[in-house]
Amino acid sequence: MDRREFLKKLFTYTATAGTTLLLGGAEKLFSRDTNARGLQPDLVAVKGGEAEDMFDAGMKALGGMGSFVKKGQTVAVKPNIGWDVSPELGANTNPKLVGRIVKRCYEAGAKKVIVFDHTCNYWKNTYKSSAIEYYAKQEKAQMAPAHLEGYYQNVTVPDGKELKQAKVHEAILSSDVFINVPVLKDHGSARLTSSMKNLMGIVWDRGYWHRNDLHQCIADFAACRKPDLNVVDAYRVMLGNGPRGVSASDVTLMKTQIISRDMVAADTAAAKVFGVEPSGIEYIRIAAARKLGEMDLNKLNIERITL
Amino acid sequence: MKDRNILKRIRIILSLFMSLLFIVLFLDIGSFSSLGVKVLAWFQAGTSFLKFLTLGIGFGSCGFILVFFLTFLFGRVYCSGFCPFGLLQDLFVFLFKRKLKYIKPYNGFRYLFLVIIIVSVLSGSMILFGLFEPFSASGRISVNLVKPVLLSVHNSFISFLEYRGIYDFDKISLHLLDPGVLFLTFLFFIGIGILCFFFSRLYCNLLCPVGISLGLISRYSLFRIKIEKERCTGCGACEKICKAGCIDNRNRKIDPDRCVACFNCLDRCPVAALTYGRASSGLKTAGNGLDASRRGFLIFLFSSLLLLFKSFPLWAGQALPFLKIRKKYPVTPPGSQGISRFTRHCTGCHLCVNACPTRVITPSLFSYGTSGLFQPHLDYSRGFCEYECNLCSRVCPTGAIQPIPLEKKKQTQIGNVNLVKQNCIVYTSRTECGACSEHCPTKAVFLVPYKGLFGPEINPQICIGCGACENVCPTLPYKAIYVEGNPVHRRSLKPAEKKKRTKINTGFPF
Repeated sequence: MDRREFLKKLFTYTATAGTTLLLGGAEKLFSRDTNARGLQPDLVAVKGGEAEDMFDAGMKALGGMGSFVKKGQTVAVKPNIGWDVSPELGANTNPKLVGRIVKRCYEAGAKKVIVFDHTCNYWKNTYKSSAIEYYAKQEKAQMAPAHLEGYYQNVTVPDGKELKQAKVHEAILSSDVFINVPVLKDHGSARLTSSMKNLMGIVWDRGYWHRNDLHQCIADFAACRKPDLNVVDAYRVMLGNGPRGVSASDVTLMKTQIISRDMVAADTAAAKVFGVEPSGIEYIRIAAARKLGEMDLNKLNIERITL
Repeated sequence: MKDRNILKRIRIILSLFMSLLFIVLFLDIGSFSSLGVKVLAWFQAGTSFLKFLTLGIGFGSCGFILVFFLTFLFGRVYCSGFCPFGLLQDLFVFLFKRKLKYIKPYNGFRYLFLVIIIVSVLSGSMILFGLFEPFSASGRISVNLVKPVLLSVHNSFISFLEYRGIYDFDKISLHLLDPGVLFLTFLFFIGIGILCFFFSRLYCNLLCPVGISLGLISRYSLFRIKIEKERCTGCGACEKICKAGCIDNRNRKIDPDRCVACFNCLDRCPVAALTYGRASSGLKTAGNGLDASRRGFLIFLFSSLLLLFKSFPLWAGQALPFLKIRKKYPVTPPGSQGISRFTRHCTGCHLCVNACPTRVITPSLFSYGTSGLFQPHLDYSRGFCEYECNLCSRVCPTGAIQPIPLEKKKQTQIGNVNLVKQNCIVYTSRTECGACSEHCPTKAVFLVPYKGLFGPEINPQICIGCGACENVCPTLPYKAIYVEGNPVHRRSLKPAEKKKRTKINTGFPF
């Protein structure tokens, strides 16, 4: 009943997007069984290629972008564009990967693809130095600003323990499809930043989260708007001094990518790639306990691809 | 005669062109500002003279020499063609369209006022100079009054576009300015409007330190406006149009000292008794003439100017000014080198406030006590100083914020971090937070294990005082981490680079 519950929740918080999402979700139900490859994987892990090629390979296993994006839909792509540093420092999502995702969305028939993040540094410089603006615009994506409170609207967080309300960026609320593209890296207080932690970039008041049990808030918000697809970029991984990093010596080349619909599963796999025990990360544990996703990777159908 | 007044036309075209440039300079953020300042502020006599005192002679700081030279040749063309505050007053005068009259020179008052300004600058206070220096006054009016209005219009238009799903343009966040600064600037603006209504450009000769100084040069200018006494019928047409109030119709005299070279009068004379030409070729009586006491006064003035230049280094070790805010010292922008050096050179033009992308540079009335008015400081409750940015140092027209390369800026400690553990969430609520450490660009704030959690610790040696930690610290009502300004900026140590943890991952770990 998980999926139905998921659809119901979506329907309650946005009336306009609700109808289309319902239809989109229903189609996904069918496509899963009618897929020519048989049972679709719950999680795809790819290794050994450039970020954008790993994405293509992974998406092939998941039935292509067409199983996520339908003709005429609006797509919100949310990479991590937190810091005013160059791509080599691994603090932001791989820009070429973002460009490729945008490209595949349009190929699948998307009407519009919006890319944005609530940056930590001055947003214009950050969009630019991360090179995400360049690659996304090259593929005709719209870079939406997210630096003013006016872009965010109040949303109720279902069954939130600490976080009951949050102001969410309107690009997420008005889009049919939400693709979450975190970069995997070290994080001082959250230990690890991946799919669930990346959603802090679609809300306005992050201070509230920090003030009221960060891990609980991250897990609470995971029930609010589950991304339709999570692409964890572990091409360059910041192993220390995260999430901002100080120098290139914090970064290691891992050439890995994890793709899944399930944030908890994606973060669990990402933690293992990073080299930490997933159960040691509180927000993953809380989210799994709330059945927001699967933490036991043995229960999942995982496809492993090496390029 | 009207179509013959080419000088006036040139002046109007020039001033309109300059106005356009000033509008772009004062309203633009970032990209144009640094170039705009180089071009536009270069020949602002007041600020460039100050820059000369700050940085010594150089191409960037010799604009005032050109202005002095132009004044010596053609009179105060700066005042009507290049001074943004003069242009603003001209706009007022144009809108009011009042009949004007001769105004007495009030030499006693204005020279005394100039001396007071010079003495106050010498004694380390920028209050008077900053308040009356025309370029800075215009900057404040643009940034504090005009810009918010224009931005509101701009933002509501963008909102409309975004409502239609167009995200190609972006809103610009409005300055949250100090209400005191706003009020005083507004008062100043209204005041100048009233002054213009009754006395036209009286400000330029009575209160403006640049205008009064240039007047001392223009009284010797080679070219000037003269009255041919034989022709003059005393009709007073010229006096009624003179913005500076320097045409004395009764005595048939023009005071070259106070003439702002607007050339409005030239085509007004029905008998063509007014001409613009070589001073010596005209009648000797045209000028004001210098008597002995005035000469003495001038010598005093110039010697005090000389003293101003000469004595500057002597004041460098002056005691720190009284500070009103709760923190002991305010934080000055990187490149300013320290509080006392900054306050002695900043006129409060607010170009840095305008250029700052994060709005952390905030003007305030009395952060520096009696050292200056309107001088900005870094307010970390509004934002923090971006690690990869040195825009403020590139736009400062006076050299109060000296140009500082990014690499140097990243090791310049403008303030230092202080941790108040009894306010910190990790210690009070026993939950994770770490926001301060997250944002720290040098990891001067780092996390250490504390009862199963991670709590912040600080390493002040590598702190640069950017204020990111203070800005993002979520604790209420008081911050758990804050930056205390460094009265004199220091050099911070480079953060240590840890060896790379190389990790060769052959398979999938799951």
